Parts: sequence; structure tokens; C-alpha cells
Amino acid sequence: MNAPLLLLWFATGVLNSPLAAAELLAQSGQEITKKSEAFDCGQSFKAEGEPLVLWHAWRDQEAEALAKVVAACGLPLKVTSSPFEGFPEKVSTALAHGRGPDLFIFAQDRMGQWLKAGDLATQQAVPGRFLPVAQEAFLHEGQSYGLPLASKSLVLFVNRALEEQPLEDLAMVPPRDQPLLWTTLDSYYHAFPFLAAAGAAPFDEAGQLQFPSESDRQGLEMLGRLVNELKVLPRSLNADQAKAAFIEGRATYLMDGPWSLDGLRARVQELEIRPLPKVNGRPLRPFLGVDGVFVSAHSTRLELARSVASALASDRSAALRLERAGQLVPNLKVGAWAKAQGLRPLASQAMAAQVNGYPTPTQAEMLAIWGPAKDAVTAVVRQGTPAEDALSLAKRRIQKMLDPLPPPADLAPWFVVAGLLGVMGLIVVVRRYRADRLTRRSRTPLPTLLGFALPGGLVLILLVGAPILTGLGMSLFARGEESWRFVGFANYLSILASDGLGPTHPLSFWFTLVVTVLWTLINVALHFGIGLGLALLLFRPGLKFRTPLRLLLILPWAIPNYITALAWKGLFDEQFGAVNAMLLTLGLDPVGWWDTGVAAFTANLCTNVWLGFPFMMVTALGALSAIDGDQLEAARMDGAGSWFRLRHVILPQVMPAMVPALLLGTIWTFNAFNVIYLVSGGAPAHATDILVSEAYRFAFEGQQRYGYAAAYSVLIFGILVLFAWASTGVKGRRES
Amino acid sequence: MRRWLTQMGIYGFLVLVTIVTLYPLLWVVGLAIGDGQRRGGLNPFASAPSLDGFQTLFRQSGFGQALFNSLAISLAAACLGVLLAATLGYALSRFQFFGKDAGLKSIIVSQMFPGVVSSIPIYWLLHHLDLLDSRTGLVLVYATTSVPFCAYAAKGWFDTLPSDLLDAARMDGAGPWRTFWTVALPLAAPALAVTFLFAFMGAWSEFILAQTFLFEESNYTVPMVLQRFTDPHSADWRAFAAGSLIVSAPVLALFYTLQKHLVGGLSAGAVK
Amino acid sequence: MGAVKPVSLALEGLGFTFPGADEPVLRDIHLKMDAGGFLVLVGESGCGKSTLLRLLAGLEKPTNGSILFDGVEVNELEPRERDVAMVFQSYALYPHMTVAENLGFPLRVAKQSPESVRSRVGEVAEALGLSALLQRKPGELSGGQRQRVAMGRAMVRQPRLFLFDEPLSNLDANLRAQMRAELGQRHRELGITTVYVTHDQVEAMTLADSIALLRNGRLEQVGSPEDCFMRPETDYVASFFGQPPAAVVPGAWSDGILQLGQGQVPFKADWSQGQDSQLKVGLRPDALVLDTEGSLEGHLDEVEYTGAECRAYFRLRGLEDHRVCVSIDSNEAAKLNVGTTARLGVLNDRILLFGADGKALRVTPE
Repeated sequence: MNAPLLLLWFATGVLNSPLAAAELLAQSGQEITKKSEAFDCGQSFKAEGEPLVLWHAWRDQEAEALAKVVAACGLPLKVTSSPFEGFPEKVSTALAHGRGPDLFIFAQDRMGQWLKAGDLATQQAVPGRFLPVAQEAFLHEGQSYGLPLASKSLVLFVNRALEEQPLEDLAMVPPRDQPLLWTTLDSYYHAFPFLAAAGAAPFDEAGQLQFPSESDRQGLEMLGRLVNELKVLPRSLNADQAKAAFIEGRATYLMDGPWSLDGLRARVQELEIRPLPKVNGRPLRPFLGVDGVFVSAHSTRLELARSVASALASDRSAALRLERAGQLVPNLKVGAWAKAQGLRPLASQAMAAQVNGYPTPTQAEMLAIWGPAKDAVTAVVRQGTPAEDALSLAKRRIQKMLDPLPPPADLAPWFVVAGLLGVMGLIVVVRRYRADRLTRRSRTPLPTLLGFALPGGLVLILLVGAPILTGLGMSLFARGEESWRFVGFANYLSILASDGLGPTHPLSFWFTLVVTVLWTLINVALHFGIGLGLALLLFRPGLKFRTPLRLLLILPWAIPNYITALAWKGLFDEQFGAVNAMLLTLGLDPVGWWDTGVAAFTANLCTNVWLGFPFMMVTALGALSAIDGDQLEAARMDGAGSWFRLRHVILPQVMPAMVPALLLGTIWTFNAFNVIYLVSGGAPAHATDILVSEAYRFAFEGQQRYGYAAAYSVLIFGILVLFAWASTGVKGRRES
Repeated sequence: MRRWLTQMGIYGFLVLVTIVTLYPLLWVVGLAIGDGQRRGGLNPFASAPSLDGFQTLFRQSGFGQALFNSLAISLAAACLGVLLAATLGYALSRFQFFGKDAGLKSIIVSQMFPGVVSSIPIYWLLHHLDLLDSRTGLVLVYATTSVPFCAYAAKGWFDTLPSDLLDAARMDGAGPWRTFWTVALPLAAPALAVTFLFAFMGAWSEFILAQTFLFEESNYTVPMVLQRFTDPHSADWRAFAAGSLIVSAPVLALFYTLQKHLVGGLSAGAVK
Repeated sequence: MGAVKPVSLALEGLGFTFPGADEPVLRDIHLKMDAGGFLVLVGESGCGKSTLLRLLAGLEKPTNGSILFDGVEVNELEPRERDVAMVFQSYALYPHMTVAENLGFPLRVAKQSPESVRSRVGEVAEALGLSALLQRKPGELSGGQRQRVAMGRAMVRQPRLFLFDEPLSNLDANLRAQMRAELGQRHRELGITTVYVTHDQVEAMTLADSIALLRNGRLEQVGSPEDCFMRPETDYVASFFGQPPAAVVPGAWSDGILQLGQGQVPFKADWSQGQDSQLKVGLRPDALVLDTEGSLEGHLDEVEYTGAECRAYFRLRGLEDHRVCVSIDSNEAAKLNVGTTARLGVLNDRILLFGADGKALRVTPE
């Protein structure tokens, strides 16, 4: 950090000096040092033995600052930065297999899960070092399980150049056409401040789940009014859109998190950060997420790990991370120092603005709330559903997810049935073998056969066959607190009964099944039609530029689909998307692509058709080029028109090659998890989910109900096998 | 005259389709070399192109290493997958043995089981083979994922080889392996090219398993690094798009090298 | 490489059934063949001749009986252990290899040194006139050239036994005649035992030392071309050979009279098989002549001009279901009108007599 820059910050810091600088920070105003080097690491470490392993999901400046801390305090640490997506699951799984790190950094909200699994070691809290609310976030039954490093919560960004009068109370703002406070409202996280303002909390004092409570209803109703009647909040925006409006000077106020600070600071001149405003005189209370350092209970060097964790949460570390990465460190001494120094003034403002933060609960049940609560919020905000109805549905779904395990089923009859099936299978195999007409000599010699088939076969059995069998088995189990419980068909019954929701409800298995079937049918039909049509055009004799055209047309296939799917999602963006721009050019109204099931389905469909037609086109081209040219000539000599030639000469010869492609295409489309997940994400409210994306939700979002997800997989498998069996049956009959 | 009109109509239509096909990709390009601002409208390109996205990308520590890892893992997985699939497909096509039909059917049927929970037993398996957090383990997993489809395609192709050729090799004194290597395999080049492409692409763009099985940063693959640019709250779409272009390059190169085979390789197995 | 020692061949009770099939393709084949001989296997398609060849090659293993090379059973030996070479109908050239690589393949498989492979390939190419084509791929060759490469690949290893599976059937007529002659020439030079499958009688007659006619998986007759033509052992053999083959019509003999339909042919013979026996009578085109005083009357169905000589097809009175052919010269043919009747005489020493079971009757007309 060079001196002029520090000076500049100092200057702007004085200018921007926040009026509402938290008294909390002032409390610790002890002795103030000038440089971060003056703070200490708590203790020193001798380099001996293998370094401990630390995993985190920070990146860029935060990761660099962390590296500085490790170097500055001489920590015996090997630091690994992992992608954020799937990080907590990765930690859980690795810890469960004894392969996890000694320490890891994550927000406190996943703590409950790790606690349940017995993965966390206790740590010594340092009284008076941290902002009390941040330290308390890591408390469980009076024990501290983590040390706070950085806090993150929604705050109010203000463009003072546009501000006419300070925003005090959202409910007092006169009705208007344009939103006043810009934000996305597409998650429970962003809606929570409004619910909390009405006094809602997901868990009661005793830690018991109480969502959704009467306060939630009031808060949600208020939120609905703010959006749809008072119009001070936007109805359907995503976070990027809200941020863009703020940057472009169309919005005076933005509700966003400190992670956006860097992007905003560079582009908005008179930026100020304040606590969120009030509603009806009560302050909005955002979730306060605190990234903390956890120590694995499985670490072989627990004491060393604890002292390293303590050093990571030391004053020196906090000062470095604040200075280098602008992290909001809940460290009282360092906070006061930064404020006094005018160092990172906006960060200081942001820290002060977190004053009303509500620490995200650590209970594992929290994972069950996010999804249903999000659906309730979007239903109220976007569809105008009464808060009462939306919340009662959410309540049902949460209860279902948190259902005590199904009663254990008796294993004995299953053993008998499985045994009988096994014996019968064995008998069938032996009889088949006996009846096999191949004489011993006409068989390929065993060593040769094994040489060719064994490597592939073995690997397939191990890495494909065994997981399928495991999946079949898992579908009969449910994961309990510590172990798996055999529950028989309970998972299947629960899925098929669809939580008692009617078959027309988007969350019902049957609704999803219909969506999946429609999805598959339309996709495959379009893949086939477009692919074959283009192939026929490209196949026309005398066509020029055939090769370049073909090369360009297979591009969608060639580029990894997680990239192109995201590109399509961008095209369907309501505000910036090219599709809506095109509609506007044509004089049509723009469409909110994620607001209705039909629109979102169409968007998914466009993406997947685009992704899938080249495969069919190439297959069809291959099949076409194998057709005997003489036959076409003969047909033409016979005076057959082009339609007749297509129908009676070309298609009958192309179809045999297309059938396997169609079968494969059907299977792939039926399980096209990627596209759904990346494009619509199931929006709105799971209406565009297909079976496999539902299954993924159960496995990896929320409760990790692997047994339930496995049962979903088995059902999907059954449907596809049935389909394949039926279609080959039909084909067989037609041939005979 | 009518013929001329038809011809023009066809060209017009093909050009239109090509534009629609390329348009989303132009957005990726536009984003990658753009100014980092979100753009509305129909024109994907910013007025002032910049290479900052690529700079961000290459500043991201470990991108080069990840590129190397991804290339190594994907190539190895594709080679291994093709090899396993080719031998297996050859056995299924040319050998006589009990359970051949059942074997082929189960290979197809295995494709129908969604891999939602498969990562759990595979994790266990890799753990016990001591292949967690290793590129070898990932190579094995990726190779296997591609084997069923590739073996099926290879079998279809081997079915079309005239049996006289293989008999001739046998007459010329070649054993089963020699026949396979020197006659069947070279003749199956188109099908192998296609299966190689499939296996490579599968491995090249996979994220979930890589994120689950790899711990060390020095083992990370490109999708894992790219994923970082889409982290919630701090997405950097320009860097992501820049990365996308780089990620697409080898696949495109492969496609264009192998495209001659692509047309025949996919379908020939089924035609004859 | 020492001088080639051709092998003698014996099949003893050979039988073969395809795995999973009910009916055997070959049954109870007995056959002997001297070293250096040229055996042609003929028969209708599906009679098992190609299968027999594949059994000799070792590509299939017999179900019953045995195959003996020089008196040693080779039933279970792989092709490469039998030291045989085969030319396929499709030639089965490796399309991805050049001519030189194709020719050298068997030698490379046998792990010969690159130099000896090169020199041997050069020799064979020289002998077959392929020297200029060594660097081409099979796709760039004409049909005849491909055929030669296939031959060369079989010759290059100097096997003990040559097997040919209809090697000339994909060539046009002129080329076929030329290659046929070359083939005969080459066999005479090399003296390697050869088994040759064809459906072309001319090839069979011109090339073979002996011909084996197969019918439904059984040997119908083995013998020299002359035997097969002149002395068919069954009516099937008679109706197989010849251009056109013999017409086999029912007949009866009693008291020096051969009854053919309504015609009565004086036929005195030393008849030991018994009186009034039902017969099958084989009539080759040269067994009948136009003869105003002939004992048969026929209705002229069609006349085929084949050049100097013509074939006239008649339906004999009382045997209207059969067509018999008579060779006549074109001058005579000009006098005939289709649709008219004519009288035909029989040359007794040319007709073939078979019992009701189809077995030849060795009857010498007096």
C-alpha cells in the first residue's frame, strides 16, 4: 500500500466521516497504533513438522490478504482456496472420510451441520476482542466453535449526489412510480430484513424452529405492500440489475452487501454506506453472516490447530485483512484504529452499518427454510399471493423436510424377498447358460475374451454398476442424525404422494413428471426436426459453402454447455437481454422470462434446442451420406417429387441410423440437469424443474436427503427403462 | 428462374439459421472483450473493447496450472476411455460368449440411471483406493463416465467392418490382439475420433466431481477456476467469458481436426 | 526360405453345425486330395462350399470328423498354425495399408526382419506385375489389380495350402478369363495344393484336377472334370454341369424300348437292374439331333443364337413340363419356326440313365 494512496483515503475518510459510526467501535478505543504491524498475532510459531491444512472459499483480495496474514504471523499453514459452490459439502464429506483439513473458513450458518456430525472442536473465545454479536454467532450450548474473521450483511448504499432528503422510513415515503430503494427480492436472505423488522425470527429463544410465525406474516405482507402498493421497492430484479441501476445513477438507494463495495466505489462518486432504513419505525434487520475459522475435531494436532485459529483471528490478522482486502473485521480494537486512521473509510461505514444485523442462525434446520421461504417471498412479491397462503405452503414443505425419519422398516421380509429374488435370478442365469447354444468350442477363448472385456468391464462394474446398485439400496434408507435407517418403501411412497399436494401443484411429483415428459418430447422433436431439416439442406447437391456452414452450425455442440447455458440465461435477462431487445424492436412487449412457468419453460427449451440440434444434424448427415446415390437418381427418373423422395426413399434409410440417436437424445434430455439448473434454476417456484433437477435439490440443497434423492433417481431410471422397453417393443412389432 | 429463387431461399435460410446459432456465442465474445459494463440491446460488442477480462483471468492464481491439469486429465481420460471402450466394444461386436447380449443391454441401461447420488459411493471407492485428491482418480472417474456411450458407439462401428478383413488378418497369422491393433482399430478411426471427442468434452467441462474429489489447489481443473468468477455476490462475468473463450479453444480445435470423421463416425454404426 | 512342401489333404467324416443352428451345414464329408492337387468346390449357393473352405482354413472348427494335413489332424489348429493362405471373394485388402504393407503384412506378423520383408514383397510384386503400385492404397486400384494384390498376399508367405473363395467373381468377363489363365499358370509353376471355391463351371472345368460337387452339405460327387461331366454319379450332378446342363426327364425301360413321354426309343442294352423300371433320363444337348425320322416329337419353344451354334429348346410330347435343349448349327436353325413341332432322334450312347433314386445306372447300349 503506497503512501499517497493512504493519504487520499485518509482525506476522503474525513470527508465521509460517518455520522452514525457505531458507538460499539468507540467502546474499545484504547491505545491506537498507526500501522497494522503494530498489532500482534497473539503468539509465535516454530516451524516444525508438516504444516496444518486450511481450506477456504475466499478469493482475490480476501485470499491474498489471508496469505499475507499467514506470512506475517509465520503460521505453519498450507492454505487451499476452493470454489465457493459446493464448498461446505466438500468439507463435510472430506471430514467424514478423515481427509478433511485441520482448519477451514466459512460462514457460521452451516455450523449446525458440522456440529451434528461431530466435526468441530471447541475454541477459546477471547473476551473483549470481537464485536459481541459476531462472537455469539459461533456459540452453541455455551461453547464457542469458531472465531469470527469477517462479517457480511446487507447495508444501505447511498448515492449522495442524488439524495434529496435522508431516507428514514420506507413506509412513510409518498407513493411513487419508480422504486426508491433498489434491491433484488428473489431470496429469503433479501426479504429477511423486512420480516425481522416485524419482529420475526426463524428460531425462538430456545432455539426451536418457529418460522413461519405471525410476525413473518406481518413482515411479508408489509413487504408485499412496499412492492406492489407503495412501489418503493422493485418487483422483479436480480442483484446485478439493481446494482446496475445504482451505478448508472438511476437509483439513489441500493440494498446490497459489502461484497459489492469494490465495484461501487470505483463508479459512484459520492458513495456512502448506512444502516438499512426503517419500516413503520422499526429498523430493517439483515442476516449477519460471519465468516469464521473452524477447527476440525478430527485434526491430529488439535492444540496447534487451535492456536493457529486464534492467530488467524488475531488483531494483526484483522488489521491486515481490513487494510489489504477491506474486509469488515468484527474486531473492536482494529475497527476503532481504522476509523481513527481514516483507513478504508467505506469499510468502516459498512461495519458501523451492520449495527442491526441478526446473526444467521446456525441450526441445521436452517437449511430446510431457505428454499420454501424463498418461494413464499417470490410468490408474494411477484405473483401477489396472500402472505398467509404462501407461508402456509412453506410451512408444510419445511415440516415435510424436517419430518422425523420414517419409522424403521423390518428388514427380515426384505431379506427373504431379496434372497428369493437372488436365487430365482441365479436359476434363470444357470438355465440360460445351459440352454445357450454356443458350444464350448465356438466361444471365444476365455483369456482372449477377458483380455479385451475385463478392463472396461471391471471399471464399469466398479464405477458405474456399483454406484447404481448403491443408489438402489440407498433409496430404501433415510439418513438420520448419525446413521442410516432402513425405511423400506417410505421414500417412494412419500415422493409419489407428493406431500399431499394436488397433481397440479408445481411441487408435486406428478406435475414435475408431466413437465419432464413435455420437456423431453418437445426437445427431442425439435432436435430431430431441425437437425434432419438442416442436414437435408446441407446435403443438397451443388450446395456451395457446405463445409463452412456445417462447421459453424456444430459450434453449439463444441462449446462446453455450462458456458453457453449461462450465455443464454443472459440473453433472456428481462432488462439487458437481447431477446427482449429483439421483442422491443419488433414492437412487442418485453417478457419477464422467469416470472411465468410457460415463459421460463420456453427459455429453457430454446437453450436446450440450440444445444442439442447439432448432434442430430451430424448424425443425419452421416446417415444421408450413406444413402446410395443411384436410388435417388432412380426415384427421380421415376418422376418422384422431392416430398415423395424424402418420405419414401430418404427417410426409411435415414431412420435406422437416427433411432439410436433418438434414444440417446431422449435419455440425455430427460436428465438434462445442467440446462435447467443453469438457465431457469427451476423458476418460478419449481414450475420448470424436471425430475432430475428435483432429485439434485433433495440431495445437495438443504437437508442432503440422499435416500430421498436416490429414490427419485430410481423412479427416473424406471421411467426411462420402461420407455426404452416400450419403444423397442413398438419398433420390433413394426418390423415384424 | 424458379429454381434460382429456391436456391436463393435456401441460402437465405441457412444464413439466417447460422446467425441465430452464432448469436449467443457472440455475446460470450462480446462480454469477454467488453468494458465490463452490462449492456442492453442487440449489439453484443462494446464500443471500447478491452482485454482486462483476460488480464483478470491470468492474474487469477493457478489458472495456468489448472489449464495444464485440465488438458492432462481430459486427454488421459479420453485416451483411457476410448481404449477401454474400443476393447469392450470389440469384444461385444466380434466375440462369442455367454452374457454378451445382457452385457450390451446393461451398458445401455446404465445410461438411464441419473448420477445424482453416484458421487457418494465413488467417493468411498476413491478414498479406499487412495485416489482422492489425485488427478489419476479423476482420470479414472471421467474415463469411466464416457465408456458406456463410447463402447456402444464403437460396437456399432465394429459391427460394420467386413468380417472378411478380420478373417484375412487371422489367415495372415495375426492373433486377436494383433488383428485388433493393426486392422480393426485403424479402420475404426472415425468412430474412435467421435468417442474421443465425447470423452474429452465430458472431462473438460465437468465441475461437480472435480470440486468434490480434488482438495489441493495444484490439482484444480479449469472449470473449478472459472467457477470462482461466478461466485455469488462477486461474480466477474467478463473474466468468466474470457475464460470461456480459452476453455472453448481446445475443444474447437479438436472438433475441427476430427470433424471429417464426425459425420460418418456417429451414424455409420447403425446404418449398415 | 526353403522350398515349399505342398500338403496332402484328407477329410474324414467331416461335419459342421453353426452354433445355435439346428441343421448341420456340412455332413459326413469324406475326401482325399494329393499334394499339389487343385480341387474345385462347386455347388449351389448355400450348399456349404464356403463353409468347407473356412473349415480348411481354420476359421471355423469342425463339429464332427477330422481334417488331416499330411495325415496329421489339424482340427483344433488356428489358421496361423496350419500354414495356409486364403484369397477372399472380397479380396479383404486392408484399406488403410498400401499395397506394399498389405503384401508384407503376413511376414511382419511372422516377425520377419524388415529387409527380408521388403525383398520378399519385391519378389512377389515383380511376379504379379505390381511393382509400380506398391505405394498405392487398395482404394486406388482397379478390380484386377486388387485381385492380384490379394493373390500376392496369399503367395508371399509360401504356404502349404492355398484356399480361394470365388476369387474371380467380382471381375468382368474378359479379365476373368485372363486371370483364370494366370491362376492356372501360377499353380502349375508353384505346385501348391489348392482348394478353390467357385460357382463358375468354366473355372471349375478348366482349373481343376478334381471337382467336388456339394449339395445340401453333402458331397454329391468327387472326380475329374471329365468324370463329372461324362459320368455323373447322380442326376443332380448331370443337371449341374454343362452349358446348358442336362435336362433330366422321367422315363421307363422295358424290352429294349426306352419310354420318354409318348416317344419310344429303341434302346437295347444289357439290362440287369430288372424290367419295367422307372428311370430318370439325362439328356444333354448333344444327345438329341434333328431327325425327321426320329423317335421323339417335340414342340419348339425357343431358339437361342450363341454364335456358330444354336440352342433349340423343345418340349417333348408327353413331357411338356420339361424343356430339353438340342445343339444345332445356325443354318438348320434358320429353317425352324418357333411354335412348330419337329422330330428328334436320340443318340443312345450319349444319354445318361439314373435309377428312381437318382443313382447312375451303368448301362452300355448295345
